[in-house]
Amino acid sequence: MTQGEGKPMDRVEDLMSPDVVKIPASSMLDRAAQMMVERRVGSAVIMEKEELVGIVTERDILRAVARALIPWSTPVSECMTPQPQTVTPATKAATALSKMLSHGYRHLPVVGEEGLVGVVSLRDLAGSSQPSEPTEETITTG
Amino acid sequence: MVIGELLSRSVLTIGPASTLREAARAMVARRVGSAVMLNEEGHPAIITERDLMRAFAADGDLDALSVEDYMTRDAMTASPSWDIIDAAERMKEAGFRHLIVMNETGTVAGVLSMRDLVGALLDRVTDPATTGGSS
Repeated sequence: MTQGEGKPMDRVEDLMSPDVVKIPASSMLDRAAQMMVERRVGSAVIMEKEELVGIVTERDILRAVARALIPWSTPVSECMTPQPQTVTPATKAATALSKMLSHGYRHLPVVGEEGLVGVVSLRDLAGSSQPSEPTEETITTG
Repeated sequence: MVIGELLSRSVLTIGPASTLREAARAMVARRVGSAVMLNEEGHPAIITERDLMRAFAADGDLDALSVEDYMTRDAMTASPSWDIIDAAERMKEAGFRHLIVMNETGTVAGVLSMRDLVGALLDRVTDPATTGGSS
């Protein structure tokens, strides 16, 4: 038995961010980090000839810092997750969440028929993951 | 369900004088995305992987910059009795991805990430047995 079926808001397309940071695999790590900071996102997708080839996240940047990689001379291709798991705009939010948590990802590229259309993050999905019986939670505090 | 029940992982604490490189290495070794520190008044501050990314993006010298240059001093705190849904909503609204859970005694009980909360919430949604209550 699965709860939450049939909830119209529970689809990735309703929650994803269409504003994706796209960079080529030859970009250096500092450029990728700069773009993520500027756009206030935690991931950048790596594109080659309009094809999704990888994703780099702030966790990857953290590991790069720990490994003392040189920001301005290390290409993102050295740190990205190649061929990442993806979801479609019609994927249910709960399915996307399961995929993230089972693989330890916090970002999933969203790929539709026309190609990459967005990225959905754990934070995007967080608000959608509530159980469908809110009455249980009407506890007044403070 | 309250967030106190999710506090299973140990907290990474570091000194504010640690370098950003040291912080990054400690976080990677412990597989966490944040580290906390308490100041003299007992107020917690936090440094997260996003803070490290800012320094990295600016091509800063991560062996020279210290944690106190990049940490967030007004970090979001909670008590262990907060409901997990309430906690997730407040984090989302405030734009924080880490919540420092403080004991009544003023010590750090743990740090919860958005991932911890979402994982617990998902368990509730997918496993009706854990939702409890009568609906």
